[in-house]
Amino acid sequence: MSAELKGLAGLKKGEARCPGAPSTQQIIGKDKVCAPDWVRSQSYQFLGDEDIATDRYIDAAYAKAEFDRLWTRTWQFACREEHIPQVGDYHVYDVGPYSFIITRVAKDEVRAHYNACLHRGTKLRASGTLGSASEFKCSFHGWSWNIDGSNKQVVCPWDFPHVDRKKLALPQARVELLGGFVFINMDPDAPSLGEYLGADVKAHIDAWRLEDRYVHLHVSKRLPANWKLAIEAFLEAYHVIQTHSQVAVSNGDANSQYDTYGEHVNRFISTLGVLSPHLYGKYTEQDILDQFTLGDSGALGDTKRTLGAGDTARQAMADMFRGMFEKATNTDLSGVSDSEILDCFSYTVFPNLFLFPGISLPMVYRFRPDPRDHRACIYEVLFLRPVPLDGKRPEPAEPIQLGDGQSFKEAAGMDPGFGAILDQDTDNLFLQQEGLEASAKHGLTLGNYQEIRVRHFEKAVDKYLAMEPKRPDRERLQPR
Amino acid sequence: MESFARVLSVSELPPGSKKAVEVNGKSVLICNSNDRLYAVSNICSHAQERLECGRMSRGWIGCPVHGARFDLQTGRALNPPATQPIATFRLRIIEGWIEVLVADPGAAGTASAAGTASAAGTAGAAAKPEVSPGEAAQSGD
Repeated sequence: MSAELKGLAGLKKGEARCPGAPSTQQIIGKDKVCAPDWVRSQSYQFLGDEDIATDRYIDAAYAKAEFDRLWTRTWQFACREEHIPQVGDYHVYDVGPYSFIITRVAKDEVRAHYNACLHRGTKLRASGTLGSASEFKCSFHGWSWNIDGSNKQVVCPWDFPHVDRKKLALPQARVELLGGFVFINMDPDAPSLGEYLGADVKAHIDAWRLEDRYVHLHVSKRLPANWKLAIEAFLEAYHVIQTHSQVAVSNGDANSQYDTYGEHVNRFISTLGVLSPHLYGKYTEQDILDQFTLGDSGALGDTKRTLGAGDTARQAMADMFRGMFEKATNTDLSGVSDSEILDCFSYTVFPNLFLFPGISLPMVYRFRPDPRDHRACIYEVLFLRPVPLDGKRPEPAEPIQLGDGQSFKEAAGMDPGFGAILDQDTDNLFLQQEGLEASAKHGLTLGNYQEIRVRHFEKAVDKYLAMEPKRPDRERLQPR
Repeated sequence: MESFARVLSVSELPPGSKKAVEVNGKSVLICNSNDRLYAVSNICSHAQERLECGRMSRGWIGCPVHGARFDLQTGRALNPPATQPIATFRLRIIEGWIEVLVADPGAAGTASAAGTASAAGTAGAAAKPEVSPGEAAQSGD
């Protein structure tokens, strides 16, 4: 047994942490501007160490079962409130075969209409579109609905004496608003969004005030892998040293912190501005500063700095970035901790939403399955910047659709260094998809700590797939 | 001979606003979006509905009835149900006034002379673009 493993003898499963490295909490504890409670907490739980069966990634029937069981029961990010600022504004959200017209029907009320005419089924609005409407009129025969979903017109009503106009409102999914996000759920029996997230996570999200951010950049790309594999590519920092070696110089990858909350949320905190434990002794603090990669470096311009004796790269970067971000984005970050300025906070809300509430890494990811191909999915990355101090909210960025062979670096406004990281993450995916199909081993093997989020995520998948199918039922989805 | 028509003063069209005007029998939408001025047909190429009450953002206008969207610069249809472009018209600013160039269908030798007489006689009901996006150009402010 190696000396490294000998030191871990006697620990229970899941208790081992990267030997010889400070913990994430120890690193953050040395920061000058202290981190808030949601950063300073830990919530790891060992969830087993058996393999994860791979049929879930490679079997089309499994994907069909997900559409009937999982997607019809879970809370999903449909759009941002800023996408529908005025009464009458709408945004079409699709997931798999399902489609909704997310509509602002009053200043503080948003509804999610099932996007299908109740005459012969034509979509009332094309998928992937947005706009403003005073009514939703079917382009086929002209039946129309008011924006609140009540029926406005049946053309030639004399021919439809058998149709009860009172029951002709558009069916609705449930809607809740949180942090500027519009969430929907097709299941009338689902828990509230607050219960679904749990009180701890709800408090974290409330603290971030993401409603005070705006979509600065929005990029979409189809990926050649099952949606769950794509999600799992972003659930751990274990891959950093191999997949993103350029990042490891300034990333505490092997000593990142992993937490799970209830059944639907998990997170990692991966510190930046510190050396990877894999590289101890090989780089100086100045090297760390020089090689730092930001997600939103467009706000910073081109700057370099030389460290003084005793300075740490992490503290120097926190000090420098705070001032530069404030100036570049006209925002006040005086109350924001060093950790929030620098570190990578990756939260997932089951099934398919990533929230990164940091300042230098301010992303939102969404992954949706391709309804026609279980081996493909749609990946979106959004950058949320703080709304400027003058209070004038910029309009949300238009989505940039990348082609299959395009690099994320080609998206206008994408930081080239961050685009390269996304390319590295997503370029592995077709190899994993094909490898799982080719393999004689029919299970994924996971690390107990660094890959706990993958296990936690798949446990939630298992929970929903064990349920009976639940298709939307018009009778139970009438407006309130 | 080309003749620009004076339609609005610049001060009447603040950022984010749009106004429909009639020029040579055509309904033309003047838009101030994305820090630029545009002049496009006010008639959706999909079902000939008027665009003036549609949502406008970041250089596009949406049809309020069926949801088609068009690029204000090129007139290109951005999403279904429209597949065809809308006309775009040259625009200039002279002494604080917005002027647009909309061919007079009654004048011989103009680009839209091929337009039908009946369409020309029906204000705001031009069914097809008179100026192809390739031919059209605007000048920004």
